[in-house]
Amino acid sequence: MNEDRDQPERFLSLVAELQAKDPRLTAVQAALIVAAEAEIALDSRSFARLLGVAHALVLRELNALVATGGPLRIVKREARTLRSFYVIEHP
Amino acid sequence: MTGSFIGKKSSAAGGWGALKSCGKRLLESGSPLTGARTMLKANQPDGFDCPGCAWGDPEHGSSFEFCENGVKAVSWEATEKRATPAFFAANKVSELRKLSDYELELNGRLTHPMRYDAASDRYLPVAWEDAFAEIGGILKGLDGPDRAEFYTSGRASNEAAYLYQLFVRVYGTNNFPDCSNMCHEASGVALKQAIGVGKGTVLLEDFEKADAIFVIGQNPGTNHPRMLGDLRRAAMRGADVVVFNPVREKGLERFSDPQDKIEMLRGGSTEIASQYYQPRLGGDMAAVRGMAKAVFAAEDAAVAAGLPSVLDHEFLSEHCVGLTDYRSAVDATSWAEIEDQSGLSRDEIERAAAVYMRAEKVICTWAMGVTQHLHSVATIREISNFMFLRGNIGKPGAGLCPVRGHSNVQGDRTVGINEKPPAAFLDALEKHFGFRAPRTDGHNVLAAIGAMLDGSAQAFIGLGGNFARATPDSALVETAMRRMKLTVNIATKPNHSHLMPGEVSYILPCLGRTEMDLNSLGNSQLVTVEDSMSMVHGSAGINRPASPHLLSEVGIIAGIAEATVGTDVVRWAALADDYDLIRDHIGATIPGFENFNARVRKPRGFHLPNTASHREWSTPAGKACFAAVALPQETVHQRARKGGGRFALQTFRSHDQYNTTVYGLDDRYRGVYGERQVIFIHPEDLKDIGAEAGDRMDVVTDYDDGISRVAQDFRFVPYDIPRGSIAGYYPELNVLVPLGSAGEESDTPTSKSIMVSFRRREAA
Repeated sequence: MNEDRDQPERFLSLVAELQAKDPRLTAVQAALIVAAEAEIALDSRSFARLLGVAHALVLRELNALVATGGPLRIVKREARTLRSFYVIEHP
Repeated sequence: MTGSFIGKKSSAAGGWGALKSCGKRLLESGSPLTGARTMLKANQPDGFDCPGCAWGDPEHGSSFEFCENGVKAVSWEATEKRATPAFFAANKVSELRKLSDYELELNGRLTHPMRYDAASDRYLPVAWEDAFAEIGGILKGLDGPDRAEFYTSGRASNEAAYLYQLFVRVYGTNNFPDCSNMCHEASGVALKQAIGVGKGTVLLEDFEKADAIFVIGQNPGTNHPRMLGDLRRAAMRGADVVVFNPVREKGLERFSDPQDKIEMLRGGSTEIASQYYQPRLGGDMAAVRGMAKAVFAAEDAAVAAGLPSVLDHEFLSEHCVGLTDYRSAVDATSWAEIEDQSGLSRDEIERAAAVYMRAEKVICTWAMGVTQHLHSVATIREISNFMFLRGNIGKPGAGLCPVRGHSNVQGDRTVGINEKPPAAFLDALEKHFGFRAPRTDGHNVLAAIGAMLDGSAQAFIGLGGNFARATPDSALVETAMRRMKLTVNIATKPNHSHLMPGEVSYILPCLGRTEMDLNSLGNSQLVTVEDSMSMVHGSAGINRPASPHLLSEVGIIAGIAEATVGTDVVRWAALADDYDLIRDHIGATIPGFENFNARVRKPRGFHLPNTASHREWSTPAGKACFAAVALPQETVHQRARKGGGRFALQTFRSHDQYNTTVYGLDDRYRGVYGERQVIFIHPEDLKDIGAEAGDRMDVVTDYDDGISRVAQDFRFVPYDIPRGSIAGYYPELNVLVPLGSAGEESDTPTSKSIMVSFRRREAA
């Protein structure tokens, strides 16, 4: 239980840490990377549901991140919902 | 960028369930996480406005995922296919012209600005600067600004449309043919006369409160699918939904809401229409007149019996003028006349009227089935009359609701795409920008085509759309387009309007609604749209642009404007780099947009003021106005039956279609697959003309102007449609719609009432 309670704070601290490393990242972009690295969410829809963020906003941030050479690579996109599946790639 | 920095991976995602709270914090301003860029994004709407229909949206930015046609619109724009310079190099324009609209758009997104080369009959790539310079040079060299026509599609955002009208007025003309001229112009004209504002009066929330909803001349299942969700919810809580539609549309009878997963899984559906009536084409006014007659009869009976009044006398005396004359007009209309013109029986009409009289709060919606007739303005006035009788306007759960088609067609008019602009708007532009705006009325679509045909127009600029295919008399319009000195089409995909080049022709590719529009600082720009309920909300794309060579519509307009009128009045490039500045100008010149930038960033945006919705009447009389006019002496279906083998034709969309964009060849609600050259006809009518299901014939217009109009090789589909009325798809059947046949007072093409006959193929 305690671990569960701490997880949001841990997650946010990781996001903050990542943003500090790369100030170009928005909070949602950094969160996408953290969530992918931790295998919490590897598709846009799951990420949106898990964090209670609008899916459209997640898609916009994901596409922006991919467009600027971020570490995520989209591997599949559902035509109906635009739900995007991605993998994290380390240099 | 990051390296592997987390160390230990979580053993199970489930343990992260508490993360929901993080999403909010990630987006909250003031969070230690939020830098300036994050703040900017977080304050923006959470997605793009669906490029499909203009139905209101309770959870703006996410509903596109659940509307079948919205998904089609989004997927169509997000295609991986590209119409590159290599595509144009490989195909002569004369060869491309042989393709259907569907085949042409299948080639995908345009990637480069292209200029037509007459010598090779091909489009060749061109630099943006060169394109702007030549377009500006030609526009400056015309005999005068009124020699150019500036068309607007209903997809253009408020920002693009406002900048466009500003450029065109600085240039010196009010020639603004736009797509609303072909759809809801009649609604604007009629409502302005009746209630002082040319828009609907209801909000989405009113559909949750209405006791009865009358849906007239509209097929939401295909054209406004999200509306079905609201109708379904209304039906489920016991509201009556009364439909008047000549064609039996499955989507209006039963509906499975894609958002209701359990219903979808069980294969269930909800009955929507509690009553479904099929008037003959053009018979809606007579049907509504009949219901009014039934209401007056019930009123007389109630008064005689000493029972409570059926009419809302308080509303009528305080808010209306013209009731006495209207009552006389209704009394003078016989039931025989009503039944013959509407095609409905007195009993059917009285049953519908009984629903109206039972309900305390009534909404009436309508669309093209009402607006594309000769007597459309009169019909909408009649609908307004009917709604006034029991005070069904300006109170919660009641009101008038013309349902617009394209996603920002209403907003474009609001921000100045208007060939007859109000003087107050021009005054505001002059005062704010310091230039003399043109005061002469400009051209609507029909006047523009007329000017193009008679040679007085020399240039055509199209901000989106597919003008040549959307307009009536397609063959005449093609001739007109090819006579232009200059044609410019701003577009996302190739279409037939691009294949009718004038002397100099450009295709200028723009970003789609779903794509990120980044400015010089790399910030995502926000645009805004207005839905059918006058809600203004933001839209920001989520996808990467289809090509790095695209410009936004705003950027293209700014480029043409700077090359044409210079920067003395407006610094176009600065506005194109920061749409907030455009919104500041809109706020300063159009009432209702004050503090625009802040308000549009709130969830759902904001509601534009609508005087009639709170019972203020901006009419000359200062009240809501009844119209006392007789029914048309004869509608097309009444004339048609006098001669053998003649029919009243309506054009409509298939389910795989949005306006002129054809996504596929199926129409699953109507059971037609793989073909679009079809005519829906009553089985007995089919027998009468000696044909069978599946036979093919040519369709010939019967119109007295000496021009031959033939749509070749159409297949018959027996269908549940009144005798004497037939239907088929546009744009294929637009060749049959005479340019000269337009609505009284509105100039809307009469695409729902064309007299036609059939001709056997061998005789062609």
